[in-house]
Amino acid sequence: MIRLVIANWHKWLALLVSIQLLVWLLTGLYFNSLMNSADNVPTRQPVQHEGYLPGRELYPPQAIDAPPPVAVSIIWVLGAPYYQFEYNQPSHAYFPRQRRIFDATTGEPWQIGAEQVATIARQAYSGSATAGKPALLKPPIDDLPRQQNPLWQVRFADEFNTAVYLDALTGHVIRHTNDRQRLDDLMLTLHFMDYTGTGFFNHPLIVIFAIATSLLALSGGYLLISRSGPTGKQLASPCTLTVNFLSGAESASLQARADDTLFNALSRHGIHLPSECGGAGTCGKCRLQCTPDTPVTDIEQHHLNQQQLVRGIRLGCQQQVGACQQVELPRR
Amino acid sequence: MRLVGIQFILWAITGLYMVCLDIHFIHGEPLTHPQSAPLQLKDISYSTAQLLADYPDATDIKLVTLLQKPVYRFRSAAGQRAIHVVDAITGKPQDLLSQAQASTIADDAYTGTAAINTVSPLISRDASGALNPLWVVSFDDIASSTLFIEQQSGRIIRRRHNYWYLFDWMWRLHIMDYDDGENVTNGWLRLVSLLSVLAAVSGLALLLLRFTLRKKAAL
Repeated sequence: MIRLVIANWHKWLALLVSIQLLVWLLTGLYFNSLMNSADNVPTRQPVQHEGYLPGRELYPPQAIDAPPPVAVSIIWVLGAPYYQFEYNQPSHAYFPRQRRIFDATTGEPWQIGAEQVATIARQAYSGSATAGKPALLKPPIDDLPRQQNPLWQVRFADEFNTAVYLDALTGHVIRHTNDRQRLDDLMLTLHFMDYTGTGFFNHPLIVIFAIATSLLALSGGYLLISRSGPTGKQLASPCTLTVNFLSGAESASLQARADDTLFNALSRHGIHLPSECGGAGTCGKCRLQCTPDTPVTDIEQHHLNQQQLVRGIRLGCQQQVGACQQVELPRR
Repeated sequence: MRLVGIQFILWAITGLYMVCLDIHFIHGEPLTHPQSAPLQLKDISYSTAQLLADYPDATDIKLVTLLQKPVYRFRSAAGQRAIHVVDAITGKPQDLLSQAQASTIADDAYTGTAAINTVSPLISRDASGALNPLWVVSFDDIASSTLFIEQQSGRIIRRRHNYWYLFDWMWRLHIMDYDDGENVTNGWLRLVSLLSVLAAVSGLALLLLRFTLRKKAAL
């Protein structure tokens, strides 16, 4: 009987996760067969920022008027050196970063302007489309859901709607994206069920669906291996099964094995009883008429009412040929 | 379904593991404190100009604190190493990290309370394929937390624990790439995915039939 409870749960779990299951499979197939991220933005090209340092007079970092940082990097922007004072060391660059930039020649505070951003973006782009005006965006940024820092965005009016994202303070290129990349991102969003735009796969919705899917898969596995068959112990000897069709008043005599189920014996002769579970004892659809004294199984008790049982209605998957050698069916 | 059933269960269970455990936790980020001690800029007496006179090809220069001292960390082709560390007070180059120094760095960074279990050397390859000597410091905690420290730079470059190794196997089972888990585009996964789409579509059709065709059995 536990099997019937599990079968019922299996049905409702399937209803809950079915669409997402198909989405997982199809997006998974997409990652496997169609995604090629490295070639998404063929107009991407590296920008050469670095200049030659020896011989330059650098302002000593210890003389800069700023609270003491955790680390100081010498960075380059369009051939000029700058000090990047870092006040935190996040484990990912997309986490909030606390920094200050100073001109390494004068020691003055510095931040990149829109004009230089446009110059860098054009250098980072090998296509022929013209660059739009740089826009300084605050997170959340649609194209980069994980990003928690403000970024410059420069759009190019090409056929793929390419956009270049650059660091708000230094103008260093963070990422290129275009419609091909956005399609890949959309597939990941669907695979991760990340409809709220967290950029990750650790959120309650997918956890709930993953639990439901695990239960669905495990219950499916259980249902597949634990089929409820007949409980009788008939021998594997040959015998004759007589089938009377109520509609046309015709009948047939079939050769069968006594230990086979009626469901299987009939289907071997091309007579397919209605069924959803294929003779596993789950659906209760493969009804036929036996003699009223045919023993009743637990599964039949569950699927059939007392009136039907008294009339001799049984399930084809629960009865062996040897125990019920004459059956009646509504039509061929 | 019998063909792909096992993989369905594996996808569901491995997916469940991967979505339940926070990816930053899996990456070992909570194993170490981020460095937060302010840099002692006032102590610096060996200037960038002096550094560049000694190492004219120095790039990616960064002033950081290593073992309580301000140091320059940079890339240079000088000597037999890629990454150099030079004391920003004395200008003295830092030798490869000793075992004791690696233990100190690991202990300072480690957020847990367990003691160090072992500190062993490992020659690894970095992203560019160059040989990179490391110290592998493992802690005596429940997850066998392990920090990988570069002998040249003193940086902690990898954080591993048992949940990471388990995650790695879950990932391999999920993408059906059992050797190194790097090939999402393998043909085996493609075949099973295609069969699974067929199985899922037929399952969906059967489910819809079951919910819509509620007609009475003939008998």
